[in-house]
Amino acid sequence: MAGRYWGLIAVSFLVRVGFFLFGIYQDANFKVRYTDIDYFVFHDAAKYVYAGKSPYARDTYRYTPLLSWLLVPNHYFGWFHLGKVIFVIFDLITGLIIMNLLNQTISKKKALILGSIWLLNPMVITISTRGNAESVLCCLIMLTLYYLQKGNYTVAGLLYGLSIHLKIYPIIYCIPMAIFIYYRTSRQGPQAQLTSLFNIGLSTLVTLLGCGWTMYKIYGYEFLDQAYLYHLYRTDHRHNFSIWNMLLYLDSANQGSGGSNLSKYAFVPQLLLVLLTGCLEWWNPTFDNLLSVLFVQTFAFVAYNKVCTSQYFVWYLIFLPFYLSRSHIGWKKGLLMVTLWVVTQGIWLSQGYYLEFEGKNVFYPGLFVASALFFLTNVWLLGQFITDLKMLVPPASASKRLN
Amino acid sequence: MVTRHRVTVLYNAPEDIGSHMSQNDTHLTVQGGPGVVLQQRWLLERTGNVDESFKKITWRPRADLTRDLTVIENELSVGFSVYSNSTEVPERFISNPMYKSFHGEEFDIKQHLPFEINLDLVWNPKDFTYDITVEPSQIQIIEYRPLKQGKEFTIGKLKDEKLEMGVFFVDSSDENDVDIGGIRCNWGLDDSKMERCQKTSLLYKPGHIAYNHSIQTTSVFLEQPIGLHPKVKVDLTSLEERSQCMYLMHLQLPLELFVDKFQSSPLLLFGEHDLELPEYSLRNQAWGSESIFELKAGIINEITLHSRYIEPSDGNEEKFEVLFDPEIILACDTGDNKVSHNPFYKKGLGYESLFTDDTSFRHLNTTTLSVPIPRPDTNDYSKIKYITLLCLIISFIYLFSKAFGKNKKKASVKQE
Repeated sequence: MAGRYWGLIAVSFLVRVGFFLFGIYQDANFKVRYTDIDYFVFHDAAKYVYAGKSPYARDTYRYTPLLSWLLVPNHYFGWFHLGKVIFVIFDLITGLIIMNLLNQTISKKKALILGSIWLLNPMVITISTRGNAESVLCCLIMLTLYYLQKGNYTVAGLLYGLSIHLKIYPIIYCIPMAIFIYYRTSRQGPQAQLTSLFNIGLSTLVTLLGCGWTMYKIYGYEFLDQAYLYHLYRTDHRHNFSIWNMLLYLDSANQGSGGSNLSKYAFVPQLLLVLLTGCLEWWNPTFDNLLSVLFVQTFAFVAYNKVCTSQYFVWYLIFLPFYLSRSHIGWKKGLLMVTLWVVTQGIWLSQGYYLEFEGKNVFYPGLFVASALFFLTNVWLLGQFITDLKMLVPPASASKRLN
Repeated sequence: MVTRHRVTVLYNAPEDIGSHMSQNDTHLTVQGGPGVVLQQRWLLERTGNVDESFKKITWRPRADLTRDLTVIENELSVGFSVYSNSTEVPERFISNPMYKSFHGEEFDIKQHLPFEINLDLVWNPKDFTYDITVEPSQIQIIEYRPLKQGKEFTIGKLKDEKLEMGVFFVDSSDENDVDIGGIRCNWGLDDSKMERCQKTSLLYKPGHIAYNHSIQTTSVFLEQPIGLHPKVKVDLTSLEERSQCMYLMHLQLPLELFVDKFQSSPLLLFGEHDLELPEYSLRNQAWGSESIFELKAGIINEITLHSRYIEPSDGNEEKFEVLFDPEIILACDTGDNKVSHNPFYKKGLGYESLFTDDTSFRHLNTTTLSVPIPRPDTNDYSKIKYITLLCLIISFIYLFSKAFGKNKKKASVKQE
């Protein structure tokens, strides 16, 4: 694989080196920094770890301590930008696995285009070269799928548990993954089916609980509170794309005095849709379909989430090449879908700009209506994806299942 | 209990004294004029007090910022401030190694003055400035008021009071030395009659030096348009670095605004510095934050602040104006501890206590800045709620019909 696509991989590597070096130059010479704010948080937290303290000593460090451990070399070698190199490596490995997992039957040209969606995507490149840790999680998820395809459920589970430890949301993938394993092993009989599921489930728990327990032992309740609970109980987020945002703001300011509780149940529709989209794997329990289902499921998760910023888009972007490799959506409709997604997002961003930088009071209707439009666009896209996924069923198996 | 009461009037020139003063057996009257200021000081003994802590309470009306301060005044922060070195931290106070502090817009003196004090003082926060020190054995209350042209002030001794009055003019003053001269009068303890007045002159080193507004060379303003991350700009282009000195900005920010210590590296930052939470979630924890930034001479300095989300309005103004008053100070080592006190004021708790005793403070500029913070309106609440709900319901009907309904296009695919 690497041989076939060495050109793309070499270009991807060089582009990242370019962005990385430009970032160092911009930081040194311009007022607006290239480096992501979160990178300073990781870097500072790693400094505390290096000094034998807790990473949570750094305000707004709300991740697993593992991420701060990853950046300890920054302080050991005394090079601020080293962590970005690590993130870029994860980002490139993610790209390699994407190329590897792309169905080998597609043409080389198509594979190059689809692989470029990740490898040459400026958004992906800036995210990792600015020092955002998102690529670490993407890489772990891709590795999980790589071993899942290979049928090595133990390793897949260990990696999957680690992914969930890093950020809770990949837990939603357990449904389509379980469905996939269940059907893949069906020919080997119910014994093998259960063993495989048990195997991956247990190894997932080993790293998930193992890491959780270790971190809890070292850093205590603060770890649980900052890395996990905080994300659940926090309701007073600043403006973001989510449809829930305005309601959450008004409800959080209005605690105990007659506000509605609607926003407290934000997770209910999200959970239902994640279940619904996850079960699309049932329709066609192949590995290729699993990757498409993960795309749609993550898309639904992000669309219905109570917080949504552009870095969340990366969560489903890793699956987009797989989805596109099999989609039946024509280019005209595809263009319309992309345009709507970009335009409604642009409307929101313009409102966000008025609020953030010009201090205009655009909360209602401006910002709220923009969120609603973006949400409805996402829902329409989701509908198209679902229809498309159902079309991908081989007619024979579809009729068999429908009976 | 005898209260020691002292009144000081400061005129600009020696000839003002004769023309603006009149007296009889028991009373003395002074006339106002441009730039004339009157200070009253009461010293009250405390007995039976077990509290060993010190407290400083100050108030300065915002309107007073436009007045040029005289040499007998220390430039106090605008608004109401309480500083205490007690070990307990009262509600909403913030702490630093030297003191606990509170700062607000409202003159809330009754809340903070020891209850044992029974003083027939008419507080006038609209026009007067107060500088109050509570010590274990005594309480000192200083009041400043401008005595304007056409106004007069008459003083006579009260019962249980030891009264003294000084009428002064500025003989000479520069940044290092102040020389004032005039007369000092006393009242008899028993008969309430004025005794003979004496010529007096006072020479001291000021700890606070007010810069005359007319020769002001700095300007402080907010970059326009003001968003959610207001940028304070301090123009020091016409100033030069001075040895033994530091240009500083002292900020007392209400809770609605905050400093990101990771972004703007203040010299000192105390109080509420949470980077994310809205004002209404922190309201019971602190009044805000106090910070000091170092500034560079010769350039326009930029300090970025951030605003918090605030409570939605109830149909009234769509923006909430938050006021704060950055103080631009040139703090210098003088090598002389005499600057820490003089007959009219002494340094105490507050930012002064963060510097060595020999530091003098030149007040270059204090400007009130206003940040309008946008906020939603609770009257839109039900609209927002129902539109959100509607969007969700529509999305569910649509997506579930997509998932469970028949695929219209399936036939065409099959034909391919």
